[in-house]
Amino acid sequence: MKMASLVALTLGLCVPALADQPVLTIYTYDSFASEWGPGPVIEKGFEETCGCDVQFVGLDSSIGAFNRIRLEGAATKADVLLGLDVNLAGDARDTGLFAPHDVDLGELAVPVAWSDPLFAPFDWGHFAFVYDTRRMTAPPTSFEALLAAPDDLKIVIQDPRSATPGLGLLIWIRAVYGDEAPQVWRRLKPKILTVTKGWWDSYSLFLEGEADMVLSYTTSPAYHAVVEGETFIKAAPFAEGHYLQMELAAVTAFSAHPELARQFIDYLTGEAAQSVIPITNWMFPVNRDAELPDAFGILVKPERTLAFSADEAQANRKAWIAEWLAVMGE
Amino acid sequence: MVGGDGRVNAARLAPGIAAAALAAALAGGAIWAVALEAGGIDLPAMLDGPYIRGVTLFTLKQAALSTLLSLLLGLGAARAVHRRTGPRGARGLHLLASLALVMPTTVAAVGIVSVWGRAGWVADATSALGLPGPGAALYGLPGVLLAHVFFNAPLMARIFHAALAGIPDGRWRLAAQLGMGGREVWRFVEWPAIRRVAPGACGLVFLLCFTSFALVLMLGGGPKASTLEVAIYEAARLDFDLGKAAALSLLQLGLCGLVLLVLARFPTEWAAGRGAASLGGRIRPDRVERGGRFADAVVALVAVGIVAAPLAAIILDGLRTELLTLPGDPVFRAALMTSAAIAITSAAITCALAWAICEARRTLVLPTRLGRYAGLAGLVDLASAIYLAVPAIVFGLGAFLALRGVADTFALAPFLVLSANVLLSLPFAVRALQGRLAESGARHDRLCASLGITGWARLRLIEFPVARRELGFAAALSAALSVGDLGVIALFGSDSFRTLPWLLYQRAGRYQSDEAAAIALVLLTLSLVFFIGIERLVGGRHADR
Repeated sequence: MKMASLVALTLGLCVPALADQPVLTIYTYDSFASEWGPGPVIEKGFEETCGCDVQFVGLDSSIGAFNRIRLEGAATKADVLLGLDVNLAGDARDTGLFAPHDVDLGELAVPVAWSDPLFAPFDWGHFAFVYDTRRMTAPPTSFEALLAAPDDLKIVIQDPRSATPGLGLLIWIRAVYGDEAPQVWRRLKPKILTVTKGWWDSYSLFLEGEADMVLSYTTSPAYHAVVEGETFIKAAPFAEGHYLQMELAAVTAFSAHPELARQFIDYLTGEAAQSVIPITNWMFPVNRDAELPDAFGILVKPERTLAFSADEAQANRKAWIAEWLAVMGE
Repeated sequence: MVGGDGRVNAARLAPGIAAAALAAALAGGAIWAVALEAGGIDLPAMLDGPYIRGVTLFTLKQAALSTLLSLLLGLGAARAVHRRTGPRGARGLHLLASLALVMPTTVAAVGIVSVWGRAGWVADATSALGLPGPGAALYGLPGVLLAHVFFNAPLMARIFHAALAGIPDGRWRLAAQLGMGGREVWRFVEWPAIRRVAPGACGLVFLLCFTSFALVLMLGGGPKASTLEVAIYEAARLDFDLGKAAALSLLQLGLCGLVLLVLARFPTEWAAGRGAASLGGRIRPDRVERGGRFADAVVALVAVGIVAAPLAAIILDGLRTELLTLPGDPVFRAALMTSAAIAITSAAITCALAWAICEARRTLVLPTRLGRYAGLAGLVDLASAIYLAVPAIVFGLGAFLALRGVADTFALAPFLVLSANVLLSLPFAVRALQGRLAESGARHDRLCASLGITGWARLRLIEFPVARRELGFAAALSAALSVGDLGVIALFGSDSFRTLPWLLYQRAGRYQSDEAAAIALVLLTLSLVFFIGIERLVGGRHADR
């Protein structure tokens, strides 16, 4: 291991050791933990009162963070996992690696009733097709309109096997059309320019002008409005309703500081932390009192929120992906 | 000492065999660790079914076609550059090859669509002229092939040009005296040189295309165009089905290994040429032929369309952004330093291992061995390259499982990333070095034996001066590959340990696409600086010719 320490030295790595304080380790996806994400502000805010040292570990994705805990099992360093979405909550629960959070969820402002003892939502948004008003003046206002549009209307989506929003669209179409989903995909297929591995690949193609619409979130326009001061990126409201994405927080069962972990989730869903979420994570807060920037006021408000339970999503995920692959491969 | 008695000298063999065995063990061990965690795998059951069959067939098809097209364009470009230009053209090929090696896939894909896409330059031009445009024709197999040729043709061209430049001037003079036309020049002068380097180059490109993932999806137009790597990623990540991930990885490893073994039956050598000392291109008898001119013009046109234009689009994209604010960003500076440190360390280790492997290899294939150890030499080649067939996510999982409980895997992240980078660049470095070292061995073994020059003295006095330029190329190639790699860091990266490509993906993942474009441009520049800098430093003043 001489080599490893040598490399560590060359790279100037140092791990700050705060001897007397308990360390609260939080696994999450990289952009949450990064300096422009919500991580640093929330870390600072919680450390003011907790008498602890909060350490975020940003991994390649929330699924990657979850898998890391699965592999580490009882030896995990993680006290908290942040960012898992409802579609994988069932799998997470079955591992037995998570413990009750004891946070009162009754007061939270989420679009569906949610009272899970293991997973607490900390932000949410709706999947939506996003377009550019400079290129598209009359976007489809429903799935039906999208399906009926001429085939030179091109959309880009993400692969459900590798990207969370891609899986979201699969389930969204299931929620709207039920067993007719395969026929819907068959009609949608000629309009799909391509299916990408991750969200960035799709969004890049859209910004490049290759596709008319991209699968993203209702909150995407807020980023362009707040950071770039530009308002021509909009989300198209669909009459059938929009599928909900909620990001969840959980305490690990083998946490060395379970009480601290619970306090953290309480803090995370509180007003102070929630006021940071909209402009750093570009999602809606779960706390009614949280501050919302003006740009969130002009966003599309879905008339209907669609959502499957974690159990339904878990039970059907593989079959739905297989069905989708079959149609797309025809 | 190696004499004419055919005995194998253990001291010259052992380090290289050990290095190759280590590379293979790390590649195979990762899969083994994952399979072990899954409690064994039921290979036939996992690999059966139309889904896996379909994906495997598409993967093979696109990889074979991509390799073939890269070979054709690379060969055409190498000949054209050799025929028409001096050292400057060679240097251009050099830079293109290094750029392609570090290009993040999304960045490259965006460059390609901004030329060939629905709203690209070609579409603009055709609509201005009232002609039918490309529409969405790019998305599908054409897009996948275009992208793979974009990445790999420059590398092929670089290898082939080196081979052509290495042809002694005397042969060109002879060809001219004999009045050879284009066809005869190809058959009697060029082909023998190309034949020695083509299998090695094709093997590498095939592996790179076989394991391509994000690019294939993005330009492939849908899941019809997905590779085995996608299925492995799905199994390892979304389904967390480790048994299936291990089984599919074995399938990938097996197919790639088979292709490499077939290619290893051809003699492979890849020597960077000695263009500086050679008049080669200038005394080619086919320079003035009309057919040759026409072919070179076609190749130039195709190369501009497939390689140069997308590259220009990427650079323009990067320049439009807030490039100047980057140096003030401490996170960016830290990532830059990390990437630089990793690249330099990785290049040094890679070269040492590659040297040992080449030393062992040439000891095995000495003419006095009468081909007795050719099989073992083939295995050494295979072992040094097989890591390319291991999906990064499986290598990451395997490394994690193997080290779990032994050490803190987060603290070991730099070590793991470094290992992955060394393994990634090893096959390139071995192929860059082995030709010259084999040649030097054949030329100097007896002399060294009679004078008693061994070990360090031989390395310093004989081998280094002879193979210095190739060593420089190998080091530069390794550094460039390490600068661009995003494989394992994505699984172990954290805020305390970030490389430039990782930073780029982080920024881009949250709308900051402008900064991502700027970082991409920095990445390309950095790779150029490294490529030229290291090559000159190690390879000497005229290394780039």
